Amino acid sequence: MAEHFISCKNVCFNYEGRSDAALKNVSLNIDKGELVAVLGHNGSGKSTLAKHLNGILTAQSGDVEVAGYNTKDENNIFNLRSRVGMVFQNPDNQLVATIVEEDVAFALENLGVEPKEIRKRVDEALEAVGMSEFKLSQPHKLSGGQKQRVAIAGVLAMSPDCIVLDEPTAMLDPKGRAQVMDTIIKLNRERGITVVLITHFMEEAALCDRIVVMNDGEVFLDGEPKEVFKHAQKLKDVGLAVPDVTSLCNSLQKLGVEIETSINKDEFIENIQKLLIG
Amino acid sequence: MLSDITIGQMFPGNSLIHKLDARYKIVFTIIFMVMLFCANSLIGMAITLLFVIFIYLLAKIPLTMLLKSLKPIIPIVIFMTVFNVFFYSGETVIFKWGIIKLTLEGLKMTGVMMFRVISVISGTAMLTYTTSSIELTDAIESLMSPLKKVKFPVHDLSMMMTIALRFIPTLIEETDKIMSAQKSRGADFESGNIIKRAKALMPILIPLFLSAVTRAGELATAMESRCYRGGEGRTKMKQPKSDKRDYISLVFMIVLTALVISLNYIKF
Amino acid sequence: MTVLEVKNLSYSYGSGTPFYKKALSDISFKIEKGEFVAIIGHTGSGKSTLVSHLNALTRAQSGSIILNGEDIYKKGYNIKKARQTVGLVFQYPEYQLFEETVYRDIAFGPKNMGLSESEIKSRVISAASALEIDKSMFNSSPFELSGGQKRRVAIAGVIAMNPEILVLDEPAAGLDPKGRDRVMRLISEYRKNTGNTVIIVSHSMQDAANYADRVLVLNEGKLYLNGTVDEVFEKADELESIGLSVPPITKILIELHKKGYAVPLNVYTAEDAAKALLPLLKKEVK
Repeated sequence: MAEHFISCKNVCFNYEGRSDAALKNVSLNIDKGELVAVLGHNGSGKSTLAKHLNGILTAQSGDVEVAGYNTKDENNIFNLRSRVGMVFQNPDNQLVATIVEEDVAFALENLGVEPKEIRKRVDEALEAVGMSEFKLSQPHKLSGGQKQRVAIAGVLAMSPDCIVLDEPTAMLDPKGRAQVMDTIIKLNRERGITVVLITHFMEEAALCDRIVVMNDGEVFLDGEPKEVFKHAQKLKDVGLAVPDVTSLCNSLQKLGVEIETSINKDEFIENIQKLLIG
Repeated sequence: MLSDITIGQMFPGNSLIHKLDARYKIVFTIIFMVMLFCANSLIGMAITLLFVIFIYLLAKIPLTMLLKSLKPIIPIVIFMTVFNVFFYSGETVIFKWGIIKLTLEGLKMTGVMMFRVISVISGTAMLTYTTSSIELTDAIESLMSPLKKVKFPVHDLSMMMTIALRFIPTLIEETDKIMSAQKSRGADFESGNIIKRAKALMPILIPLFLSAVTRAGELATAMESRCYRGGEGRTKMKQPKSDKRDYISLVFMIVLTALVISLNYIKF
Repeated sequence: MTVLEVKNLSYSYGSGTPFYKKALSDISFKIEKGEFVAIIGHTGSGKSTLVSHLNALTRAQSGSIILNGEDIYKKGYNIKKARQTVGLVFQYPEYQLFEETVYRDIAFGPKNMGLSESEIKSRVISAASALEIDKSMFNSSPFELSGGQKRRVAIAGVIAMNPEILVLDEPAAGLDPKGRDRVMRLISEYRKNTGNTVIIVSHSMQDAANYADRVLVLNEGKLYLNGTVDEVFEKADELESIGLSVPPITKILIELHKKGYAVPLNVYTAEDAAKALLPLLKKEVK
C-alpha cells in the first residue's frame, strides 16, 4: 500500500445529523507528482474528501494513508500536515496575520523552525508565487488572486510534498483565477509537488493530468481529462459540463462531422484545419 | 463611511521611531503618560507638546494625520471647555453674566485638560502609526512573558489580538456590504424610536454574526492545517531585538520626564 | 422608452487623503425598458461602484441619474422611490439572509414598502415561483438550505419588491455549472415574463453573450465600450488590450479567421459555431 503517495481505501464519512453519507466507500490512489483535479457539484463530497487528506477529518470506516502516515495516527498528525498543505476557498478566512510575510511564516513558527531558516523559506515561498514585492503589505489590501497566492506561499513554506486546494478560484475574477492556476501548474511542473485541485471550472480541470469526478459521495469517473470529457452527457447528468471547446466538438459530431473530441483550443484548431476548405 | 476610520492604522516608514523595538515603544508610551500627567508647570507642558511635535516630525507622520485622529474627540473637548470655562468655581473672575462666570482658574484648568487629552491621543496614536499590529502583539507577548510562570495564557492572548486586528478591516467591509444590501431591500436604520431602531439592526447583526461564526470555523481549520497547536514549541521569524538606539532613547525619555517633573517644583 | 439615464457621472473616494481614487469618471449611457444589459470589466473597473449609484446607495460628486424621467439628485426626490424602482442584488447575496423562515426573508422587502398582508403574500409567492423555490420550503430556515437555494431565495427577496429595473452583481459567482446555468436561465425568464429591465454585472463574457442585448464595458472607471453584443465582441483586439476577452468559442473562430478561413465572428455558442463551420467543411456531411 505504501507505493502510492495518497491512498484512500473504502473511506466512509457521515456528518453528524445528516442522513446521507458525505463519502461512500471511496477508494482512490494518487501518485507522487500528479496534478489531479477533483470535480463534482456542490455537495458531491469533494471538499469532504479534501479534508481527509490531511487529517482534518478522519474516515469513520476505511483508511487514508498519505506520505506513509495513516491520517488517524494522531502522533504523526503534524508530520502529515507539514507534508500536505491545504488551501481553502475563501482567501479572507485563511490568512491569520496582519502582514503578508508574517502570515507565510505562520506554519513554520508553529513547527518550531529556527528564525533564520524561517526568514529564508518565507522569502523563497513568496518569490515562488510571485508575491515578493507585497511581503510587507496588509492582506486585506490585496486582490483575491493575490491573497490566494499568499495562502499558497503559506503552505509552500513548509516545503510540502503535496498541496490540496479546495476550490481556490471559486471567489476570484478571471485574472485572479489565471494567476492562481499558473502558480499551481508551475509548482507541479517545476518542483514536482503533487497537487489535488478541487474545482468546478471545467477549463481548469482540463489543464490537469487527471480528473476525478465525485457524485453523491462516490467516485463517478476517474481518468485523463480527454477520457473524462468524452462523457459529456454523463457529466451533465451530475450537474457538471465539459469545456467549451469540447462542446463545440460534440456539436460538430452531432451534425455528422467526424472530428476527434479535443479539450483544448490549439488541438481543436489543428484538427478542424484538416477538414476545412482553405 | 465606516472605512474612513484611521485609528490603529499603520504608516509604514523607515524612521528611527519605526525602527525602535516595539517593546521599548510600549514602555516609552507608558513613561510618556507619566510625564504628561505629572506636567503641571507651563514650561513642562510646553516641553511635552514640543516633544510630541518633535516625535511626529522624526517619524515623518504628517501633522494633518494627527489632526485627523483628534477629530472624533472634538465634541468632548468642546463640552469640557464650556463646562470648565464657565462653571469652574475660581476666584479671579474675569467676566460674569448671571450664573455664568469666567475665571482665571477655570481657564487654566481647561488648558491643562486639553493639553492632556491631546497629548494622550497623539502619543498613543504614534505607537500604532509606527508599529505594525503584529510587532505590537509580539511585544506585548514578550513583555508579559514573565506571567507564563503563573500559567497566564500569554500566547493565546496575543494570538487573539492578532486575529482580531486581522479581521477588523474585513468585518468593517462586510458590515458596509450587508448594510447596503439591506438598505436596498428597503430597510430603514435612521427613523423611529430607540426600540424600532434597535429592531432595525437585526437584519445587519444576524448575518454579520453568522458570517463571523463561519469565518471563525474556517480560520480554525486553516490554522489547524498549518500545524497550529498553541504556543508551545513555537518560534518566531522576527525575534524582538533591542540595541543602542533603544537604550539611548530610554535614557532620553527618563531624563525628559525627570526634567518635566522637577519643573513643577521650581519657581521662576 | 428610456427607464434609466446616467449623465456624466463622476465619483471619487477619499479626496484630500493619500487614499484618493477616482472610481468613476464622466460616465453616460441610457437603458431602455425591457432591455437586458451586461456590465463587464475587471475587478476595480468601477462596475460595483456604478451599480451602487443606480439605487442611490452612493451619491456621485457630479453628474445625474434619471429614473423614469426624474432626476434622483433633485431636491425633494424621495430616495425610497429609487430603491423601489431599482432592485439591487449584491454579490453573494445569501449573506444578507436573516429571517427565521424563507417566507419571511422574501417578505422583508415588500414589508418595508408598507404593503398589505395579502399583497405581500402574493408578491412572495410569485417571486418564489420565478426563482423555482417550492412552497414546501417556505417554512424552513434559510440557513438550512444549500448554497444554490440560498442564492435563489436572496434573489427572490429583491424580485418580490417588484423593481422595474433589476440589477444583479455577479449573480452566478461561486456556484457549480448546473447552479450557474439555472440562476442565469431564471433571470432571463423573469425578464421575459415581466418585461422588466435587467442589468447584470459579470466577469463572464459567455453570460454576457448568451443573455444580454447590450454590453457596457468599463475600464478604469470609464465607459470603454457600449453597444450590442455583436458590436462589442467584434472589437476583440480592443477588449484584449484592456485585459478582457471574447467568449471562448468566439476566440476559436477569430483564430481560424486569422488563418484565412471565411468564418463568421459573431458566434458565441458551441451549437451556433458548429452550424457556422459546417458549410466550410471539405467533405459533404450526410
